[in-house]
Amino acid sequence: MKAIDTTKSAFVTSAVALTASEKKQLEEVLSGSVPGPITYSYQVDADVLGGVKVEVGDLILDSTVASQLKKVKTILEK
Amino acid sequence: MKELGIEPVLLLAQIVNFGIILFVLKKFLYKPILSMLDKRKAEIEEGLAAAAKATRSEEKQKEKEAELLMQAKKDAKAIVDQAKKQLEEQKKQILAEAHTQAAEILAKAKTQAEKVAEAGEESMKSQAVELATAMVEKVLPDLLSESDHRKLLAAKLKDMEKAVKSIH
Repeated sequence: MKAIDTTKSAFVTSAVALTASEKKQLEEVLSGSVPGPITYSYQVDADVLGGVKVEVGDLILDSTVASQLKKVKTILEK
Repeated sequence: MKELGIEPVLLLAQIVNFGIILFVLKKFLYKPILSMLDKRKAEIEEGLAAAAKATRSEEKQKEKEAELLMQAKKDAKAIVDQAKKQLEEQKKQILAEAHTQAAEILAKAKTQAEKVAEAGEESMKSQAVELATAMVEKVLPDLLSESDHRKLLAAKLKDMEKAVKSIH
């Protein structure tokens, strides 16, 4: 009988490459909220402008400047 | 009497003759003629009475006709007055309806103009926001230094930590 693989994949996007300590801090935050092992995938995207965005399964933590700018735009347009 | 030249026998004979002639005339002339005259008189009187009656009848007829004419004129005047009154009322009604419609059209036009102005304002606001956002997106990457990014990341990671704690 095969063992079920419960490893989750986390996709991390930031405007600049994260340092090792930043990565460690991030992984600690996620391991506290997402059960089981997680594999991390880091990518740089200047379009997020600043901050970081993490996607793990259904969990999305978006703290990017781009998303906040979008929220401000929505509020101003009302 | 003989001294006066009057002969009694002759006188008597003349009186008798006169009597006979009077009787004959009365019987055969006067009576028919008088009767005819009476008849003519009665006919004439009858004719006059009939003429008077006809005249009275004609006058009555004329009076009646005059009365009918007056009544017809009155009725015609009443009809004309009624028609004038109805026309006046219709005129007022049409005028009132026209005023109401004009007011409605004006109100609609005003509402439409306000909507257009509002839409224009909205459009301008939207464009201004769009422009501001585009400017920030363009300028921000050049403004933020490496240390700014680090500070930002540190703050965001802290926020993330708080968010995760609040979920659990």
